[in-house]
Amino acid sequence: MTRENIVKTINGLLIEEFEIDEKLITPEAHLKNDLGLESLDFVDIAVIVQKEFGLTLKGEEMTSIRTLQNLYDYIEKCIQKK
Amino acid sequence: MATWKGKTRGGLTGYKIFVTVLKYSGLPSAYFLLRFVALYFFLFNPRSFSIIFRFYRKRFGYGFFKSVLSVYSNYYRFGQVLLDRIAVMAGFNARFNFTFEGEHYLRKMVEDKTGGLLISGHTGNFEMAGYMLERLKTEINVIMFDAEHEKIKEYLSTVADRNYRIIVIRDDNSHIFEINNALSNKQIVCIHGDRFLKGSKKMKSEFFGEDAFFPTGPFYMAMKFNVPVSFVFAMKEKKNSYHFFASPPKYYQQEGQQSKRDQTILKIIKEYICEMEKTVRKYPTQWFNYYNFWDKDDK
Repeated sequence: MTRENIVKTINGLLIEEFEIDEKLITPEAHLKNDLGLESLDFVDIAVIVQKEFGLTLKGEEMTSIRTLQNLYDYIEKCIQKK
Repeated sequence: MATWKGKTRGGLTGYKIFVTVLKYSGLPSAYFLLRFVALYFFLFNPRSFSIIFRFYRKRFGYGFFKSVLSVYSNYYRFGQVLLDRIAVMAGFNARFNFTFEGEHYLRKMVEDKTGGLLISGHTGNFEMAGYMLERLKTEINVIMFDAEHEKIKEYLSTVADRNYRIIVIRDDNSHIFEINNALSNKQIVCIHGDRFLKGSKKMKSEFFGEDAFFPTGPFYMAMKFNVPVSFVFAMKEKKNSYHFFASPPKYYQQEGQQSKRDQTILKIIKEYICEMEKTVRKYPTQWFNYYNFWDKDDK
């Protein structure tokens, strides 16, 4: 799984499932403040990441994830560790 | 808007006195002392009194005097539930009898290695359920708010142990990933389905004949995590006995696109309400939501 695939999958989720405007989706975008993700949306993120990447994200590690860039980096790191 | 503020009443000194009585004299003495404490709250806590009084008048249609008496019984019951919990957690000499209804559903979750989401409410003794489920011999996770008074938490942690893991609800939503993690490891996760903090997503549905708000989070997880979901309640019966009830587990799936998710959530909420209303009607003194639960009550 390449970085490009990770970005594509996550962005696809944001556009298709959450109907977020593509223009808002930048690596620096804050998940809550800029993309308007709510608590329920994090349930979807957990499910999609598990389904697409076979990863179960850890709560304590997710506390430091604020932006899309953080999320891409974290998923990439987890995949490399696998 | 009717919301729970996240804190439960009771001071540290009160807890210390009760723990000392429990330790050296046992539950009957603590229950005796509780009669006076319940009377104190009954006489000097007008806000909570009016909320619970209205609950019996409007939801149960009780007359004036029966409602007044029921408020006292409710406070006393609530105190008993707290004391039972401490007595069990601290391992004081207190013996409880437990009866189970639907336990085989939960055993099946463990045997089939599916894990499961158990949704309960602030009626009866949710934490006691954690102890009662010890016999399932699997990891139990209980989801809780973390807004209790620090000093009380610190104190209770010195006298009592929990046999289950607590997942704290946090603003950063990290608890969602912890819940997913536990369910992915085929564990049991218990969560409340009746309270929400200000700013949380909620949905309106009829409960005891009038609209009330319910948090969407627990029911959304029920729909998304693809695990069996059961509604559970641990209710205090006579002196030292509890009855645990679990509804037949169901799998819920989102019907249609994301935009239709609310319909599925509402369907699960309605099923939950049906079980909770049945339980509260059977145990009317064990309704422990001391704030305006119904939308209209707050206006």
